[in-house]
Amino acid sequence: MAAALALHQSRSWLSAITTPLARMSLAAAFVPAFLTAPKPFSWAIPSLPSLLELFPPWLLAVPKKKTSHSRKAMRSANKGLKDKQNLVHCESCGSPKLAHNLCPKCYRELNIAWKAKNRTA
Amino acid sequence: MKHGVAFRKFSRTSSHRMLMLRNLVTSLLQHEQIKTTLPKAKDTARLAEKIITLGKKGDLTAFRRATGFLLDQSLVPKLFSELAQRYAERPGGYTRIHKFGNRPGDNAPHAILELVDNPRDLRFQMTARAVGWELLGKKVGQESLQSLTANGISDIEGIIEKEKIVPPEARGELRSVTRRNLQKVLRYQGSDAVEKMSRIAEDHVDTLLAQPLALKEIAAAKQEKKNKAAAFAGIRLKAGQTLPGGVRSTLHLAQGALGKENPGRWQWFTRRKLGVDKTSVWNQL
Repeated sequence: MAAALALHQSRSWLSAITTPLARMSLAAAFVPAFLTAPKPFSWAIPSLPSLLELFPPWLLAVPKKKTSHSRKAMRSANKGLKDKQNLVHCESCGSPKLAHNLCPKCYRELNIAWKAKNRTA
Repeated sequence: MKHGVAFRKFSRTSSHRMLMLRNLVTSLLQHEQIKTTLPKAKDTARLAEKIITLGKKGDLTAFRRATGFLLDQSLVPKLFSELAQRYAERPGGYTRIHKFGNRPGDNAPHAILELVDNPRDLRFQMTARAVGWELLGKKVGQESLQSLTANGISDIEGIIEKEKIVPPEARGELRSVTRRNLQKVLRYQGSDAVEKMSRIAEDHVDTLLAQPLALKEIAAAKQEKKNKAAAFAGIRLKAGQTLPGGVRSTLHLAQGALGKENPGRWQWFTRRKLGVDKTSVWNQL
């Protein structure tokens, strides 16, 4: 009950300090809500509102400027698809295939021929 | 660390895993060629070879063990008669795994697992076709395409019989890799296997000769309909494709016009044993 009340107080208090004037006066008198009112111990991870109370708004990380097109492009310079080097000719049909793998074209022909033969038989 | 661990877990409990592998082995013995992921194929191959060894033993204990393992009792007679006879001379290695690219849905590496010397043995088929391709590549420069189309290649069976005996690294009609495959594939098979291989090779040679002719006819038919002047004379090849008698590697072909005429390390790019590049001969049909 006391914990719930403290939480409610902290929430209304948080909304009050978002105004610019209130932020100035807060430097010395900042006390997190979970330290004022003692809460019963539980294994649950502290919820997001209570964690955020550790960092007042002006301490949270935020990008200063929009990343420029050029910087964004530079970052994704080495994210392109890599060329495959392990390409060879199939020894029976001459089309390109992955090295040490079956030729899909030849396998397909053989499979179709086999199934056709079995269907008629 | 996973040093020296022999078995895969497949993210399944031990009972589920064992049943899955039993299912795969049963399917393999039933169909003699299955497609699955590469790690599953490797574990299935290991188990399947042990079951075939039981079939070769043939006594009551082996029969009971095999019956308890396989999930389809109608396969047990096949295991103890047909497969045991097929692999009577062969000391192990009754299965073969062919890698087969990646599956589209989850990019899992796929493989074809097959019993060696089965009626649709993939290595046998590919080796026979390779024999046809190489012999055609040799003849393309020497004879005209018209005479080749009329007569085909003579006495492939004789060439195969000769290549069976030639040592792998020596010179012969075929590339050393093809010769090695030929010898391995024909080792534990009878004389009818040679006849079967030569038939497949001849059929493949006919197919290879027929394709450009058919394409030319189609192009000519289109020409008549549209009455246009310039016709594309040669064979339109797909990207990276080569023809019998071709010598440039896939990577060299992929470079296209940006590639060098004679790459620096020429000996690694050309197959000098087959001689000069004969791709241009195919345009003279």
